[in-house]
Amino acid sequence: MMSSSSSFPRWRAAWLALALSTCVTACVANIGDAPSSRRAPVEPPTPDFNPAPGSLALLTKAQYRSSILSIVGPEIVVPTRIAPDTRALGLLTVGAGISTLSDVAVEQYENAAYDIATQAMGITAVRERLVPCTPNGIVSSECAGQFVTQFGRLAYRRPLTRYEVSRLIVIADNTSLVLQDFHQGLVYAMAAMLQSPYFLYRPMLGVEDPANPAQLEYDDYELAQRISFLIWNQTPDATLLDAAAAGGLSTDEGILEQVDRMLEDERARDGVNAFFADMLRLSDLDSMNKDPTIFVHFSPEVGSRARDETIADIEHLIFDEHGDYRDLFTIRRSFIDSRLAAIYNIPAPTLSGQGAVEFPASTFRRGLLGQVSFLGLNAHSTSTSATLRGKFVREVFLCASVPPPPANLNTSVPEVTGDTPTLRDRVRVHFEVPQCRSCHQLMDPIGLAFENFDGLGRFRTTENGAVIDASGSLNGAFYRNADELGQVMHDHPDVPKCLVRNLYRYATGHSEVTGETASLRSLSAQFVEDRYDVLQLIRRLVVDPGFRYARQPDVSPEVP
Amino acid sequence: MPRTKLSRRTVLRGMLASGAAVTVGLPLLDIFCNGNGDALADGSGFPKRFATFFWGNGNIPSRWNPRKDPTSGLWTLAPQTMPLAALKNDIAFVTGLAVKTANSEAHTAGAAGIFTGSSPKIIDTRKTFASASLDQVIARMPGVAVGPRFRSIQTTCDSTLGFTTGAEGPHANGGHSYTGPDAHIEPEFSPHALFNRIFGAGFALPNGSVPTPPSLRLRKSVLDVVLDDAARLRPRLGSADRRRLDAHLDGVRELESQLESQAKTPANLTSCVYPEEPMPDSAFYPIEGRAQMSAYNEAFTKLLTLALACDQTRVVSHWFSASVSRVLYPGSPAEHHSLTHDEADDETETYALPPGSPTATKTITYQVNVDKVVTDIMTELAKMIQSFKDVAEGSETMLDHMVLFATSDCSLGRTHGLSDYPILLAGGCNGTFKMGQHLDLPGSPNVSTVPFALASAFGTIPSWGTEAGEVSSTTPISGIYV
Repeated sequence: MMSSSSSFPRWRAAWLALALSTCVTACVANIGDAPSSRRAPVEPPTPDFNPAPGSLALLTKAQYRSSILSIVGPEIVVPTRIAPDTRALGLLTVGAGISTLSDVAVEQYENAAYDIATQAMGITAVRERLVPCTPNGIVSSECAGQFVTQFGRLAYRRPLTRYEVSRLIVIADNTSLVLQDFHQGLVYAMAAMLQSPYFLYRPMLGVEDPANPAQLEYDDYELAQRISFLIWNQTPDATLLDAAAAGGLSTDEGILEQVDRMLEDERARDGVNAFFADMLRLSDLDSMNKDPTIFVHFSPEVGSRARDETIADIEHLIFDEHGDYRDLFTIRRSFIDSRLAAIYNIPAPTLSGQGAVEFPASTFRRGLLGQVSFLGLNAHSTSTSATLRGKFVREVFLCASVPPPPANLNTSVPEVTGDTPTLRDRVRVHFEVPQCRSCHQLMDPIGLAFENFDGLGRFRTTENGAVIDASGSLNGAFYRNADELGQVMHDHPDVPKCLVRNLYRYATGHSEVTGETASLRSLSAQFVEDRYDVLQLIRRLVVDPGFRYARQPDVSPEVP
Repeated sequence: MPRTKLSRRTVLRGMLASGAAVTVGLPLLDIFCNGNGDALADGSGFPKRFATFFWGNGNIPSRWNPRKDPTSGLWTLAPQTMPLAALKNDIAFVTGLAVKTANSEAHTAGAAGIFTGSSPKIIDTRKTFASASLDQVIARMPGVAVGPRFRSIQTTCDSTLGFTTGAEGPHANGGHSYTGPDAHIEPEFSPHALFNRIFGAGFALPNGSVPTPPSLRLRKSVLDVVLDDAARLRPRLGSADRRRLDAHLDGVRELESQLESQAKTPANLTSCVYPEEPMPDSAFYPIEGRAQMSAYNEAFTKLLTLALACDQTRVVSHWFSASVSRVLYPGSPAEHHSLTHDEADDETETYALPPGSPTATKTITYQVNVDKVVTDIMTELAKMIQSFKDVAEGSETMLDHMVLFATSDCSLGRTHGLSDYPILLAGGCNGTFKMGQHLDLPGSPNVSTVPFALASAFGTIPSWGTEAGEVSSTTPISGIYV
């Protein structure tokens, strides 16, 4: 699981260097390059394939919600008071594989389970769908058994064992008798399933691989849910479970047959959007706050509209155009509503909802990095932040790790004066102090490219009366402004590699281990061959050994 | 081992208050000191409680620490804590202590240092605690855990409530209650939800009749199925996942004990009244981007006060604002965290030093907007302490029967300082801690002595913290005891 063997010690080493301020290059970029480095990277030899151990990922809030809507019904109002998501390595899905529940969260899951089960049995249409039989009395073990068997398969994402079915029938019968109501029995049986670790977590444990006893392979049902959460971000449907039951997922052809069916389905758009929402931290937009006296175009709805814009652009490129992922950094077309149009200072494309617009080249606004979802999110509530913007680009699109600032350091920057009117002037101190420079040189030069956009994302050419200089260089390529930086990002070799790494982590739910290097390299090479088509990348990933095999979990002896 | 000292008068007062002085002999002392909940049902004593009040981004020590005359011992409140003036005899400052674990992670090192005595744990870049936090250690002590319905309650005024949250709903920012390694408790951020959780179905007033609904037993049988599923899953997991599953099961057993306590007759506590229903969540939404921290805090203060007065819990943790809090306070030019780092020391204060000092006055410079935010937070802290004090329990107040621990995630916010850590106690905890004093300690002793002393007031523990944070004696701060 959390065998991120490589990142932690390196990280600690980086720290130590910072603390001693003996080394100004403490900040290391994972994939690429310090800004000044132009050496061709020397590829170390690929170690043998050795997968990560299995995992026990908690459903994220989005997965819990989409799973309930899918297995119980779209009529259900899904409770939101459940364990909050946590982010690790930039992804909520990786956080879900290591997070630990508190007793309060367990209580919330109990409340949510009864809430959902009560709704399900109270809404006629839902009840009739879930209960495939007519009870022959207040207590009807036969009918309760049919309900438990059918619903349980969807909830546990595998057929229930006879033992499991019998235990749930006892709950249902006993409750029906005590409360004198057959369907109350089903409420309690359903509440039991919705609180079970088999529903709340996605146990990916593996079974012995007959071809190679040293490693494990995910069984057909585990593979089914791995595929389903990757492509739809929800629990497998009955067709996929049927395919698993029939052994249809044991070959590459069988897997791809199901995957192609699923990619054709509308739910694939939600699923792929969910990946990008996770990677781009779009859920953070929900709580984006700006001082409305400074940013007069801000309102609390802006965050969710900005998310909608980014998602619409990505979805259009991937699903409607089967386009090149890298074009997300250079496209000028976007889908926006009237509130964003006001921020972007262009005519609203439509009175209500979203419409397509083309940004004028004169405003340097281009691609994902010209949108409020990036510019507004990575800024303060009263000002911009070159550091936050640069950090986001480094971490999210280039997969570099940037340590937090060292403690016990005076972090104040000069105030605005006649000598220091622009942010570039004020953060110059970051490059003068060695302790600051080692990390800030990775962030600030990129972030300053976006100074033509204020803390919300509105275009400007001056700050405090001084003309903004947004130039810089990245990976040896010079840019004059954010527009040109978009092209530099488009051409940066680490950008597609980083997407592959993010998708791999998202799909497998863990930080890659050394033995998976070959998988990442091969997927990156295929991504180039497939002309950076994200859907093709997903098709390659589902048949990659790293997606299908595990190694034995680490078990240390337990003290009784 | 700290001693729990009780003056004879305190014991008598407690006995008279309980109305049990005539019938109960010496063993009452045990009830009194240990807060043994079993004794409550017959009204023979008041439970002992623990409260945490936390705010993020630290303070400005030169404007927060009390100013003391070393010869006379007299002390006055500094400007940031002036809002606590009316409570001066109910509070104690302990200054000069330092978090001894490495300052490796800005903010998190301070929070983990003060609440666990250990360094934070980093898992795949995520910062978390390596062990249970002080409030949860106390909540699990035998004398505390037995009796109340909820092992502990966590709240916060720092949340995404009022923002356009998506389908997944709003959430709390921050909070540092951990039931074990990485097992974080999300604090409650909705006063209304807290009201329903504590005072909704399942709550009974003192002497109120509680017909045990059959659903309690049925819900318990459902939990048995959950435990059974987990037991079959567990052997197939690796060690790390087993620990995660075990934490989940601990929560299931906590639920079982909640169900059991609901079937018991409630304690006879005369100050327990049914609270008025809080305003809906929308009443606490930010106005023009500015959080309504004061109204929010007032709503939680009322509920937490009655949750304690009604013995629904004996441990409350109020994470007023988050670590690295980005709350934009009314009148502030930037959000709190940015202010602490970006604002310059552009204000000066000159104050008189006691006679005999090398100089007659001292001049300090400070960040004026940060100063105002911290002062506002101290106003909210004062309201909470006052609210606890307003609850009469016998001839004393609820505050006398508890200790509140107020602290932050660093000292000076700008540099994430870990020395001269902000520590304030309120309430003597049944005469254990000496209130109305400023204990200023030379030589930067280990701050872990404070959590160790606090935990030891509720039960027996051998030591507190690990590595540089570890202590097994309260000697350096023995002055905090009566």
